[in-house]
Amino acid sequence: MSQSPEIIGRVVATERHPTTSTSLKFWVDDNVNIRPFDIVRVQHISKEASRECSSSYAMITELEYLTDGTGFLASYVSSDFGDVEIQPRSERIGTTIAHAEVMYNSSSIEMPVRDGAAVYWADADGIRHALGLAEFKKPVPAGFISMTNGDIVEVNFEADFLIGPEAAHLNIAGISGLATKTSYAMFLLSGLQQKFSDEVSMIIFNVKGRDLLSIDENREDLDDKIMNDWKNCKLEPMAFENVTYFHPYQNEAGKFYTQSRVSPDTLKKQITNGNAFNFYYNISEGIKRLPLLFSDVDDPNYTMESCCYAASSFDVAQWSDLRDEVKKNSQKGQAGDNIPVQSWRKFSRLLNIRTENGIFGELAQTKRDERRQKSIPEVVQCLKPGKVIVIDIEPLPDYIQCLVVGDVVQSVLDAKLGVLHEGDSKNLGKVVIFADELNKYAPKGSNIGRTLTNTLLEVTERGRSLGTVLFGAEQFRSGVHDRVLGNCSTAAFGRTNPIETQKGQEYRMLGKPQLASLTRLPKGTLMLQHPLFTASVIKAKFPKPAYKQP
Amino acid sequence: MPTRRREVEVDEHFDRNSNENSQEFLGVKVFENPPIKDRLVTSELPPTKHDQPSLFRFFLDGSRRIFSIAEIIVNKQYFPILAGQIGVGVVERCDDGRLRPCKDYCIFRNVIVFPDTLSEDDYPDIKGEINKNCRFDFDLLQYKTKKLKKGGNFSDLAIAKIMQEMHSAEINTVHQLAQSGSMRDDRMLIIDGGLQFGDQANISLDSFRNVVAVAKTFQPNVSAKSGREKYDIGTLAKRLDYGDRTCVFGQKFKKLHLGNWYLKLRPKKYMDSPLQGVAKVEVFASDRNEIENGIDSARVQNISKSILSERNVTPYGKDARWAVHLYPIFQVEQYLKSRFINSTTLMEAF
Repeated sequence: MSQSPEIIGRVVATERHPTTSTSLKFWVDDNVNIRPFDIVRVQHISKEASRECSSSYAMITELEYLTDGTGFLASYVSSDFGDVEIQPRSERIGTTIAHAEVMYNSSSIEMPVRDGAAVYWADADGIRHALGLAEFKKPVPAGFISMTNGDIVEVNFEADFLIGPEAAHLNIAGISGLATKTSYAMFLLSGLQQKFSDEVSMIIFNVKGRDLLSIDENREDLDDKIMNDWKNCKLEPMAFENVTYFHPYQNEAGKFYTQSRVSPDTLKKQITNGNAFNFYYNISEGIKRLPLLFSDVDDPNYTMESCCYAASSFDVAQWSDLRDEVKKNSQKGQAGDNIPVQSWRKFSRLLNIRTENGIFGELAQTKRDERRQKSIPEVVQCLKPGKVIVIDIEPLPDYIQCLVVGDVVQSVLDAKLGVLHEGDSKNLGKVVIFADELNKYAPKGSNIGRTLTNTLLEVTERGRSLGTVLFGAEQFRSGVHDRVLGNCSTAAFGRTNPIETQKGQEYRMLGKPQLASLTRLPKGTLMLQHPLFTASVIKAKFPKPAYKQP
Repeated sequence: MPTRRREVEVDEHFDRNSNENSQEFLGVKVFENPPIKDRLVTSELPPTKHDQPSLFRFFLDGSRRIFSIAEIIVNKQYFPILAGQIGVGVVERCDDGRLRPCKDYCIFRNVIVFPDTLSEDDYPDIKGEINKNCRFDFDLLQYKTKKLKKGGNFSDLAIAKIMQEMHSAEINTVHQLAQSGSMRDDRMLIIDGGLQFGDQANISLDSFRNVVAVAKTFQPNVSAKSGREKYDIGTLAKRLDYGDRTCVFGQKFKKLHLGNWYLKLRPKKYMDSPLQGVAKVEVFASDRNEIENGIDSARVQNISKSILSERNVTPYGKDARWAVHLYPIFQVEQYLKSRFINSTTLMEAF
């Protein structure tokens, strides 16, 4: 750039409002349009007198407009003592004051910026240095910053801090209906597949309609804007590759042995391509996971857990046998293991209802080619680096969704620990599990002993060393278990409502202006928090999905 | 040098309006053509509407700060040496109502005033010495010690010299604005205070044709003549309510004919005292007809209406004179203050 950069403001340091090592204020040129989260470069002193000036980079946190009016009365008096029709001849002198958080100095100077220092738009390279992005060794595309002056800056996460081993796990929060949470998770996963295909495998749960049931097909209405947004992130706008779908089994040949709501055409295509299977629970696998089937049941005295434990030792060959056996224990005088009959009766009642679903069936073990059925451990064993598994749990009731999610997560952990098969741990690569509606699986304040919560806690607390990573999403962070959230090194905040931001400690690390911005974030925009960012949060955009939208 | 360095408070009597009662006036009489109906006070004037352009485009004010920095002894007599900062600021109001300083017409000078008992031959050496040791450039001026009046002191003479320099700077600025063609009948200049500059000889009426002076303060006990009757300006001004004005009173100051009148900018009911909100407006008689018959009444009306439309916004809460302080002038004052060198810094230079 041969042209000297344009000054957009000057730093102000006064007795009442001094600049500090971490903050500054500047007035903004009347003709400049600027907004919170924009990043500016400020001229600063040099380390040695002979050297060129250094540059400090600061992120705008708040803007305010002030005039020389001393108070409301000055305005009232200036309107002829309250005449609303009065338009003064002269405009009251005023200026926009920008508050900014200092993030970085090019010469590592931490002295406060001086009064009158010139303020410029920050350049893309400078911003990446300022945010700490330029130092990343294994950058994962995480979106882009769109500055008010039109500049675009790519944003990344450091892979070692997103998928381990240094730190791991991601949490995405935001109200539904803005196509942000799921889209962002899918964007990140797409980035991981494009950049780390030899390292990372993925498990995705489909919980809404047909949202994620054709992610290996290209989007039909992929326009220039979407493509540019992908290019801004240095990614190709492409659908996922190497995807296998697992639909919930149902013994109905006319529906291809599945209860999935995927369109028949899509399903046929998937079957033809050989990447559609059905998952089911036979008694031998299912009986081990019974506690997960009842994880939503209030169990203060652990009686349900005791029943599950007792039932797992029953010698049964079919689900109906198990139900009969449990029923026997419900009869008066039949109860064993010191479990009251009343508890057996409750267990029996719930078991009968909850195992009625089509995925509980031994018939699935026959005609394997036609029915394309696999148990969850078999599903997990399909994983290998670069592969994506989509498990469709949308048609299932909540309690079975909990069972499947918990079972998959536990099976991954088992595989990583070599419990399933020897050597699994290396074959799987790092497994990223994306689960939407995390508040359902790990609710806040849930009782100790809830099997599913414990499973998720185990993933978030010990998963990074095992190479198991959780990408969770939910509407309200305040509804998710504290320890699950606390273990997520990276957080993405989507638009939420003011009640939610007032609720809990989850939002306390955000300043007032950031919280206000959070309640009016546009579609496709998030605030990102990552351990290696030098700013507390970054407001970033990300591209719309490049895969087929149902 | 024994003197304690300090900033000198300059009394109001050094202002231009101070000349009202001086012997230079040849009497105050009604000076408007045609005279208004009751000959003294008009009824309420409508201000110029917001969607109609104002007559005024430029606003000028001069300011000074004076410091006593030293004394010298000549022939066993002490003579004060004063330093001063002189500033003349001009602000232009753009079409969108925004104010911006006209930097090309703003003047900022630092001066040091010596008594004439000091030989002028020494000035180059003194100036060189001062400017060598100081971050700021100073011009050297001289006050005439022979002008000392009975009961006065040499400091007053030095201060008067600095004031005279400021007035000259203001006059020069008006000349430059006029010569540049920026000022026109519909792009007039308001100057803060009065038009009774000490050195009227330098004033060209052509340059001051489109200049109106508006003073925030005035002497209320000046008497004016109308025929055989005598009126007290203060008593007349007390009768004014929002939009009212007095008739024009004429004065001859040195060789120039001035017309001034009093205009009420705010409703009486909101004012703390009867004279609050009354501005003194002053113009030069611009042609032979006005010099002989008085200031054109239509011109006075137009100027008054435009000044009324300048009443908002106000520096209410910032300046005790808010009710009569025109906001652009207030801003020129602020601009000048912000450009002056900090008093401590300046005094430490000596």
